[in-house]
Amino acid sequence: MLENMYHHPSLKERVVIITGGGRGFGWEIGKKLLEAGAKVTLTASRNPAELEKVKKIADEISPGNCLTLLADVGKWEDCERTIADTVTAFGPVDVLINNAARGSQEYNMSLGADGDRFWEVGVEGWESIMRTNINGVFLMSKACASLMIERKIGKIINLSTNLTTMVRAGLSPYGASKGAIETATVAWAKELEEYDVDINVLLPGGAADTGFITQSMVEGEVGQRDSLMPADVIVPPAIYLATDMSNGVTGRRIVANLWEDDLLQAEAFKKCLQTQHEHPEIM
Amino acid sequence: MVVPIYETLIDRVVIITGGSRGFGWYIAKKLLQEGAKVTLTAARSLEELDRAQTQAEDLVGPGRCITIQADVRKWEDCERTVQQTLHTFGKIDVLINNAGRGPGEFWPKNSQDPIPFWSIPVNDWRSIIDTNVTGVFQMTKAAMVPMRERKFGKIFSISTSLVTMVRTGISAYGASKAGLETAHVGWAREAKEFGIDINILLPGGPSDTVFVTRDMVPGVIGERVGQDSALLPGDVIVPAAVYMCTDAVNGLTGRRVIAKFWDNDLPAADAFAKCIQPVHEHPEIM
Repeated sequence: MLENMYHHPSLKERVVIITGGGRGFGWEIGKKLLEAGAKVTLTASRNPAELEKVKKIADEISPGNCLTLLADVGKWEDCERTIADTVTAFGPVDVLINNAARGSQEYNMSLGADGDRFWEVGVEGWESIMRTNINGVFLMSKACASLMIERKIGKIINLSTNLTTMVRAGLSPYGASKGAIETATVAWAKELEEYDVDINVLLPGGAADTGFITQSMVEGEVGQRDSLMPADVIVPPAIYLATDMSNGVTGRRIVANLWEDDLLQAEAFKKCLQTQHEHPEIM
Repeated sequence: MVVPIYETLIDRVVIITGGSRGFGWYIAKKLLQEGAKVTLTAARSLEELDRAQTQAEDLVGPGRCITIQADVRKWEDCERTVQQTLHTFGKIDVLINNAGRGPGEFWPKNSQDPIPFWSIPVNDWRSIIDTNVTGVFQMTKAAMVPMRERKFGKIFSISTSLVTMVRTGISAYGASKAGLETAHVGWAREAKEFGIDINILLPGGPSDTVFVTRDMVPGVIGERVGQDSALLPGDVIVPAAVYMCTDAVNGLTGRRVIAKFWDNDLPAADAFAKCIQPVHEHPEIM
């Protein structure tokens, strides 16, 4: 019988942390993992009401298998606490999904509109993006890695963005942060390889309908809100990456919107895998 | 006496961050000899900053060089560097973002082996991202104010080789430089209509400066000195860097320049052309 990732045995009681899990991609992935029998920790840095809301829904899907934590990935103590509380509640962490990120709404800019220039980005806005999108991914991965290495089990999934978005005028703090994290992921994959811990980059493949894309961006760049991809575009390859079906896939870049439902899941996943490059080319 | 070869360098005002040593000081010396005025900053090495000031005066006399203790991680320091340069020299033509923190910050003592990412201390990681990415942003943002007013300016930032970016053991450094280069692509486009050129310059391999510490050498580099050394000379950066301060490169923006491809046997324009890398439509990282 063919394996179905949504009912894959490896997801039963699999312990997953999703940062920024109270909404958007994080929550879409979280819901599906709970349905599949996983134990899921969702974090959010700023919005306790958001966490309360998803906790209620989570407990309807899979009672007692969701932990919500107010935690800022930019703070090392919060990362350590997230791991410790998860281990206490569910056991050692199997999967870390670094989904929390800050985008251009942090510096009040709209995609594609006039006046989006890097010198107008406030110092605090820039720092907040670097702090969450680069340092936050490092801190959470560092906090999870030691136990994963010891157990020789682990999967880390870092959310990223399109290559054209990375270098788009007006988006430089966001683009730079994602360029940095993709680069770090290549080196980290090599460092983790001997411990059987997989680390990959996952991206939607275009602008998707989440709170990350603000109304001003829709008007400036995207056109119509309904031309956005649905937020659950990220789900199938994210679930695949969380199962043992993806064991050994590491250091890769995975584009979610290339997933085809008509194919076998292993084949659909292969379509999302991007060709590897020997070294980066940026400029 | 050194005869100036690049006329547009006479009285050209250049800020060099991390200018008291390594690449920064090599570039500064040559620019001073060519008639430029330079502001050198350093965050930590104050004795070196004083020494650079003295050496600059020995080289070209007083009034051509100012030194400022400034940390590019602090916005006030960046603004102060720009203000003091304007106050002293009246304008800013060129900003060279040279200050950077490297794997030497967290390299284990007396060990040839770098450490995996999970062993990098939190504060070392932050300090590298803050200096190499945010620090460059802040200095560039500060310098853009007078440059936009004049509709003229040249900004270039020192980066690293593409293979180094993804090397194990130094991911904080590699990621910081990838972030920096990614930002420069967008910045160059945004600044173009203001007559401001923004580029990347890199040596093309590990070079013999204090940036490559003694502990790194045996494991990563091999021999430090002599014919077998894989290190490029510390002044490998100079010819391309100095050329990038002249009006010969006006309009060249959003490019990646590799210093070691400079060929001294060629006329400067041809030598520089060999250093310019082809442009990619978009990044490919992984």
